[in-house]
Amino acid sequence: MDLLPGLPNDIALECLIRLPLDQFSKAASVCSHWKNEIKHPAFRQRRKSSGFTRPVFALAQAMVTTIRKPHGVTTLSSTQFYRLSLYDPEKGNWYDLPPIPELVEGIPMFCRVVGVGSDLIVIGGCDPVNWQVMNSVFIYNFISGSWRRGADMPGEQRLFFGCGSDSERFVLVAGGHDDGKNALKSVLLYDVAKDEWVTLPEMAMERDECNSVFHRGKFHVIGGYPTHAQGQFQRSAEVFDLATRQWCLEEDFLGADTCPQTCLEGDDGRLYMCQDGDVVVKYDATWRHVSELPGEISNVVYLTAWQGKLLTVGNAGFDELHGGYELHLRNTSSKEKTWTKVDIPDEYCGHIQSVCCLEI
Amino acid sequence: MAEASSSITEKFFLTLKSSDGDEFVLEESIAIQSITIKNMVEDGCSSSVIPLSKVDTETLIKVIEYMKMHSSTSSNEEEIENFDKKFVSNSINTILNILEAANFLDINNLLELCAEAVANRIKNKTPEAVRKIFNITSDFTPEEEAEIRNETPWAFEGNLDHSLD
Repeated sequence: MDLLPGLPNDIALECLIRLPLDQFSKAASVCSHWKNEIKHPAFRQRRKSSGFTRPVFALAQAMVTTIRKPHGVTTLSSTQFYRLSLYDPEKGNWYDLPPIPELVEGIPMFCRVVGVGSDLIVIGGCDPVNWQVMNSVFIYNFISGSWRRGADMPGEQRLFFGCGSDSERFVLVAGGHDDGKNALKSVLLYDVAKDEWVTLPEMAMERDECNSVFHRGKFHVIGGYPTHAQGQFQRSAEVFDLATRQWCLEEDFLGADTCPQTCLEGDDGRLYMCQDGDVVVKYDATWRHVSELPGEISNVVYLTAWQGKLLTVGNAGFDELHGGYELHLRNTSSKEKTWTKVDIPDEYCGHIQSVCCLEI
Repeated sequence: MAEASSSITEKFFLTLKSSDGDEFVLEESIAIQSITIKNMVEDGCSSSVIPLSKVDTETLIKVIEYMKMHSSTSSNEEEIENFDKKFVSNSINTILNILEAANFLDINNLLELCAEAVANRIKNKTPEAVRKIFNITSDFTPEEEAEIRNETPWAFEGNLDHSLD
């Protein structure tokens, strides 16, 4: 059967890949042939190679509430309930994702969000109502526009783990701590396509509050601290090769004992990180200074280098609302580099716990 | 010298023959926007009539109109933009025929323009309207239909258009 009667399927696909993202769930309900094509990973690949996908940022973010003060003054404040918001950097638009059907009150506190293909994956965290640690996996698919439940994360209770994806298929969950606040060496790999968890060989070190980043084709589990040295961040990283299933320890990866939370690969293939109020970038073994952070966001939640810009979100300190800033890296001399504030609507200024980028 | 100057001024013409047997004479410089025709010319087929067995007369007229407007020398950007806007308002069957011809003739701009036009006809339409416009039969069971309707709608989704144009 033809996708479009009378037309070769290859040309019909050229038409379908030109639909805007919000049309796919509707288009998939035209007939089973359209549904199968649209939901096939090759369809996304074709959209991507033809330049029809675009990056969006998904944020685990507190809902905000307006507090009325005397004399009619109102201020905004983050609530303790989190939702998923979406930022489209090209159009500058913000959106709410629909709530997880099983968790209409809010998404799990301290959950991690990662993007894999057209899926946004929400892993772990605490139940927003009773604070029980959850090992749950919830997946939002941007093509079908719907939520599904993934296989639970196996093993012990785990919080504050490193969580990163290769953007195409796998999510690596590493370290964190168990219910006795013991830092963990164990590592899990989630195959999104198969909905299957695999236990990987342990790391050499315990790593609570570590970061997991896919960089140059390998998963990097960066920094963190062991049980006996709580809060004292270490500088080493362990690199996992998916092909050989081997870990490799890199002793001085971070160059300093620092929190690795903001370390991320930019779209230029380099690792960026915030450290002591500066943005630094890794060239081989050394971290080079890129720019000083704007004073308003000394506390950075997320940083990335994207299309020649640095994008960052964060706040000035505990309890403050979050703001976003960007800095053009190209075509400006180092003296002229200044951060500009990203205009964010009030309702998207809530506290941010986790951010990821997806190409959808 | 004489040969060089003549090659600048002299125009070459090609004859394109539709599947209905109608013949159209077109400047070579315009016709070779089609990579298929360009390859035929380079292979030495230009002296005779070029048969386009997959393109009917009505479609070929439209394709020639398009190629004339888009040939680099004669039109400005605004004219081309207005032409393209009007061009995609052709009936959906005409657009689909042109799309297939553009694919066969390998005219990439025209293929992209028509593919975009088809996508625009699908955009914001209900699944029922899409089926009617493109003559597609739904093969979902009533149960599957109900399940599809119950799936969470996409968060950005705007108002759906029930019309068939």
